[in-house]
This record gives sequence, structure tokens and C-alpha cells, in this order.
Amino acid sequence: MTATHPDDPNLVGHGRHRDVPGQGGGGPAPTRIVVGYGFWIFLLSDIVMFSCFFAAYAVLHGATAGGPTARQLFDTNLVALETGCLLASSFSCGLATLAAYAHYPVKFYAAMSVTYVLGLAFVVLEVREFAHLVSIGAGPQRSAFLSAFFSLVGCHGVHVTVGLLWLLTMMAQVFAKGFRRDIMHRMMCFSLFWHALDIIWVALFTVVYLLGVIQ
Amino acid sequence: MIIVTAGVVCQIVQLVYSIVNREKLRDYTGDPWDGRSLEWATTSPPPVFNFAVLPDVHGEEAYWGLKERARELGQLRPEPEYQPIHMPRNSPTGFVCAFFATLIGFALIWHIWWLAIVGLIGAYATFVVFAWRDVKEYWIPAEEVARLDRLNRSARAEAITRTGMAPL
Amino acid sequence: MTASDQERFPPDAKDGRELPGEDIAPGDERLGGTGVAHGARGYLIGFVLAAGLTAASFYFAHSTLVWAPSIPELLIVLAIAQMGVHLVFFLHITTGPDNTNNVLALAFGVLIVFLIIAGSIWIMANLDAHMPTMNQVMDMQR
Repeated sequence: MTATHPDDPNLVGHGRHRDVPGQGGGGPAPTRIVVGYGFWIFLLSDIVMFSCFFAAYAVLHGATAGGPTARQLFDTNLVALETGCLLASSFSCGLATLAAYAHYPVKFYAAMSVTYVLGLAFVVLEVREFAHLVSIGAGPQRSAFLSAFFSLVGCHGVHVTVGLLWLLTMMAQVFAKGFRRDIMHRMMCFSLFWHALDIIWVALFTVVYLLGVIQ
Repeated sequence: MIIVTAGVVCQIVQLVYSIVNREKLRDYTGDPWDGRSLEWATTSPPPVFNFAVLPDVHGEEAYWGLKERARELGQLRPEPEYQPIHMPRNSPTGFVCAFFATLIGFALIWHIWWLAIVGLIGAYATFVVFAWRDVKEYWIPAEEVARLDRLNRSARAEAITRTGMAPL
Repeated sequence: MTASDQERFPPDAKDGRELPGEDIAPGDERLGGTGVAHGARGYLIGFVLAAGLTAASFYFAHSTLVWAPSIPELLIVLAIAQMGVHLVFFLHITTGPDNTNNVLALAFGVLIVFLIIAGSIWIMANLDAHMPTMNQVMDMQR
């Protein structure tokens, strides 16, 4: 091998720049950084998928085909209740994460249970709203506006439902295996997911319900 | 029409020639076309760990520089220090989940609700079973890494003495 | 904690507490010396701020205090503020040097979202403007 300058950038990552972050010195990042960043990128791709549904809704929100409009259908009190449930569940999820990192099992289970109940309340309220809309003839087949509405809000609801299943699985795993390192990684991913769902809901209730009602 | 026929005839000629001369034309190094980039530095098919040690990259065409130097010297670089390699365990979970996902998709299209629920339960159960595993990875011992890499190196050392091509 | 609890819930110095000079995973924060209490305070502040902004959104949607044509913009600004509160207080996406990767990924995501939504609206509005009315379409088919 020919002699090279010690700062040769081609030699980065072979022990020469150990103390410079982001320069590759000292080998790959710790697993939890890699796991967290990877899941963050997945979440961003999920948000891009939601943006497609948002774009469809934005284009079609006026296409009511002579049927019921947003103003006639949406009940902002119900939406406020749903929003409160989801926001509070985000808060309790944060507390659960803290309890998990500090290894307090009882507080962890308590906070996760509260998160679950609030998330379940959100889903139940949303399902009841959908059932009511279908029963009065404002189902997804009625108009393009309603198709877009059911797709967008339904997609978010499915995400929350899957998140609730994941939540139960996390509680079961901590119960069975304790606060093992890889389970803590999953807990980090779950809390990222849950908070991201709340962020999407903020955009959702503003654009769909509030902007729809004031038109 | 004539051009297409000529093309087909060329194809047949290529096939016949390749099959008749397959022993003479066979490549053992994994680098049949004198490649320049790093993927040609490993065997074909590659071992499960891809490279035995992290390649040391100098310049844009990493592998080409290595080959030129080896051809000048008439021998490969010295053997690297082999370390055990950490690999994830194989699992059929993805395949099984995809099977259930197909069931779900089919059932949803044709409104076969019971099948959709069966698919959803199956997919989720597969996921939970996979999540419950305690052993996720295994180590390939350094001796095994060395053995596989030495096979590659010997093929290339032989090639460099024979034709001056495809060393490591 | 009993001995078996120690095995099942092993204390681990790296979980949730960062070594200095290391990158931060998304959702992490530097807990410092006070640990859980300090973390909980951050979440509580975020919760209160987000709740306040949400309440403001719902209030101004029906209020006559604000000039009516500006209400949609106000709601959107409040929504962006809420999302910012969520990102900072719940997800700990800050502008610190260890968080750069996470912020860059988020910025890219936001760019793609903007392109998709704004692009779709623009293109579809353009198509809509150029589309002949239904009567004209029927005339063409006659």
C-alpha cells in the first residue's frame, strides 16, 4: 500500500477519525440510533402516503355530486372529543416511554393502559361516526367528496387500530421478557409511531373537519 | 423480417458456441468481464456476508486500482486479518406474511369477509411469533470466513498467473 | 426489586441516556441528571401547549372575533404550530448538532409532502379550468 496522508478522506472509517461524529470513525452507529433513524424514515414515507390521500381530498372536497356537504355532515364537538382523546393518549405514551427507560414496570403498564383506553375511545368514536354517516346515505359511494373523506380518515383510523394492537403486543412483550434492550428499541419505535399519528391527526382535523365546516 | 431472422440466427450461433465450449469458457473468479467496481471483487454467487473484510476504498474505481497493482506485482494483496462476522438469522416470516396479505387482498376485493379476517389474524400472528424470538443473530466464525475467502483468492491467484486477469 | 426482577428488568446505562458527543435517535432527549421528572415536565408542557392550540383552533373556527375570510389561514397556522409543538416536545426533534440527520430527513419529507399536495391541487385545478363544460362535451359527441 502506498503511503497516504493521515487526513486522506479515503481512509475515513479506519480508526483515524474516531472522535469526529458523522465522519465514520470508530465503526457503525449504535443499534438504537440505526433502528430509530430507520423507523423515522419509514414514518416519513408513511406521511408521504397520507399526503397522497390529503391531495385527493383537497382536489375532491367540493365534488359533492348533489349530496350532503361537509358543513351538513360534520359535528365539531365529536371531533373535539376525538382530538382530546388522541392528544391525551400521546401524552400518556410519552410518560410510558419515560417509565420504560427508567425501568418502572408498574408505571409503564399503567401509562400504556391509559394510552390504550384513550386510543380505543378515539377509534370507537370514529367508527360510530362512520356508521352514522353510512346509515343516513352519506357513505363512501355517495360522492367523490365522501369517498376521499372515508379514505383519508379511514386510513388514519386503520393506522390507530394497528397501533393499538402493537401497544398490546408491547405490553405483553415487556411482561414476558422485561425491559430488554431490543424491546426498548421497539418501544422507541412505537412511541415515534404514536406521536406521528397524532401529528397527522392535527393536520387531518384542521383540513377536513374545521376547514370543511367553515366553508 | 430478414434482419430479425439474422438476429435469431446469431442468437442460435451464440448458444451453440457457448454450450459446446462451456468448459473452456467457464469463469471461476466471479469477474468474467474484467470489472472495475467493487461488486466484481467477490465471488458469484457471493457468500452470505458479501465481503470477508470491509474493502479499503481508494479513488473512484476501487477494484480497478487493486487489480492494476496486483497485475504489476504478479500476486494478490496479502491475506487480511479475518474477524467473525455477525449475521441476522434467516426467517420465513416475510414470505408467510406475504401469503396472508395475498389472502387479505383477494378477500377484500370479493367481499369474502371471513377470509379477510382469517388473513388478518394469520398475518398478525406471524408477526407476533417473529417478534417473540430471543435469538436474532448468529456469528460466522473467523475460520469459516477465512475458508470461503481463500477459495475466492486461490481462484483469482490462479487466474492472474494464467491470463493476467481478475485478481483480488 | 427482587433478584429475578433484576434479571428481567436489567439496568442498562445506555438506554435513554446519551453519551456526550453521540448522535441522538429520533424520540430521544438528553435526560440529564433529573431523569424522569425532567422528561415528564417536557411532555406536560407540550401537552398543555398543544391542548391550548387545539382549543384555539376549535374556538376560532366558529368565532366572529376574527375577520371571517382569514379564518382558514389562521387554522392552518395554528395546525402548523401544533405540529411543531408535537415534534419538539414529544418527538424531541430539535436543532442541536446531534439531531441533524433527523431534521434533514424531516425536511425532505416535508418537501415531498408539499410537492405532492400543492402539485396535485395545481395540476387538477389547471385541468379543471381547461375542461369543456358537460354541454360542450355532449355537443362534441353528437
